[in-house]
Amino acid sequence: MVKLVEALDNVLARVATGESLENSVARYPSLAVELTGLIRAREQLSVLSSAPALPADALAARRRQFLYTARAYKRQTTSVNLLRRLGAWTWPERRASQPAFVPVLARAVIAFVLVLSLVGGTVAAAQSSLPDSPLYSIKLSVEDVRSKFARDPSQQVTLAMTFASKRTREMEQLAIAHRPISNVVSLRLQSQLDAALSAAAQAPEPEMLRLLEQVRLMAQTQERALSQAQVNAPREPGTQDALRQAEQAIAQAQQQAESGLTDPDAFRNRYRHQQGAPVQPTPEATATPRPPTPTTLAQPTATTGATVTPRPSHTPQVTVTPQRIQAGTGQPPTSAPGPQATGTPQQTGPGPQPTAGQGAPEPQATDTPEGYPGGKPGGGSGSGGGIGGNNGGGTRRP
Amino acid sequence: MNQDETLLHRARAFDEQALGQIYNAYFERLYRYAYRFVGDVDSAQDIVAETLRRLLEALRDGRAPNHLGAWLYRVAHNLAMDQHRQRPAEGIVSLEPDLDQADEADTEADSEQRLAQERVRAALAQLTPEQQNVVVLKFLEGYSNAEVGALMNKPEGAIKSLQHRALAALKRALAGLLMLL
Repeated sequence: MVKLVEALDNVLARVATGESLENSVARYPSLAVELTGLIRAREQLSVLSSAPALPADALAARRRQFLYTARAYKRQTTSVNLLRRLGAWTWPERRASQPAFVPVLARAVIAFVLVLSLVGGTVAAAQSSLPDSPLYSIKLSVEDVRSKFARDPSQQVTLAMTFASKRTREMEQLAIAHRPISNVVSLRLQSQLDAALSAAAQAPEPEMLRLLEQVRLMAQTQERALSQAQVNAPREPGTQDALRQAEQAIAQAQQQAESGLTDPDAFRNRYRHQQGAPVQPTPEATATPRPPTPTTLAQPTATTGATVTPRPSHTPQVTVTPQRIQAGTGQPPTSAPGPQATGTPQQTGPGPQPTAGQGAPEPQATDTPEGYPGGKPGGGSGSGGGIGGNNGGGTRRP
Repeated sequence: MNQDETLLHRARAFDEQALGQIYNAYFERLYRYAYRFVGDVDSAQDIVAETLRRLLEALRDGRAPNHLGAWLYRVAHNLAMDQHRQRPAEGIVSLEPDLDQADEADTEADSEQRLAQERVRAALAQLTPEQQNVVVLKFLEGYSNAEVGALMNKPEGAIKSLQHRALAALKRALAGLLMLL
């Protein structure tokens, strides 16, 4: 048998160099028939010898995709390594030489440090997790906490856009890894873009413009990344749809930022009341609910009807400053002389009902969002829901 | 440390240059290898792309192979076999000459060639995975016994034995298929 194996190898080598089959097998007369049959079988393989050459552009495209995938996987390595380290960690066995008694305080300190390390390690590991990871909810919670502690609009915008970038990267990574893109990611992305725009609207004007420019640039970068991801991602309808929707949301945010740069007042009106945070009063806002004095009373009466001025139901500045208004009544809480106090009948004017739908022209109207039904402009989307703030903003837009 | 080991060492850290070199070194070889089994350019490319993606996955998860070439060929081989198993009927259908679309003489020659290819592929599929590997790497890719041994992580003597058993099995399989025709 060994002889046959060696003989075959020898004959194969000779035939490969151009020697005839007959001459090659003639060296092994006792094995000639068997060797010939094997060499004939080998010759039949020649029909498979050619494989069509690949076009250079196809090769280059595949190479780009491979390296793109590699970059996405590289970003995941940190979390995997950390988790592995955590998983491999075991309590060290106590050595025989170690004293049996360890003071209680020392044990407590060790336990405390270990708990802290584990929590810290888990939180650190969670930062690179993806939505299908159990650590992802920790990552989102950490982001929520960080957002809550961001007090000034500049910080809020930077954080919201940073988190939105993270959502974009997560989508890219999931798409490339052929994993489904969870709805959670899209909703968070939407919510964070809305939060960034709302936060920008809270800043005074020069700062607001700077922040809007920041939102615009970051959204532009994210949009480009998502376009690229769509090219590189597998052609699965779910994945492509999710990437496309995210790209649209980012494009819309970019458009909103641009509109804010063009018309800051309109932008501010659209967004300033959506965040739920107290609004810094503007001169107009403070004037709106002020109980009319005899001097101020005369002016609105002459123009639009005095009874409208102190009724705050369609002026959101008033609704967020309850110290000025008695809850439920919409009336000033003081006994300061208003239209009623002065004895002026409320219905003196031609139907001055204080509802937004009937909004008669009044001085305050320039600073209130009456122009937008429901107080939300829709952001050009036509959805009627507008760009949301933090209060459920993620679910408002389709 | 040979070149593959050096590349693998750098690839573990996701060194993009090393990964690019691995791609350059293996994509076309693996493509030709997969094509022998599946006989379709797109499928063969997909198999290689999936093989390389699995390599990245292994590197990410800390499961990097010890022998890069052997690992890549094994994964590509498994994927090609899966693919081949999934489309036996398709292969037979594709042998039907399409008289409406091509010159008759060319079509006849083409279909004969394709018939022969499918017959050899079918015979190849009856071999054990190791035998298939030896046949393709040595007789179609042109590697020496030593190179096949390195790729399969086996000594040269074992490759010679495998080669003998593979050709004997191929001879039997081809004879069996001829009897069926």
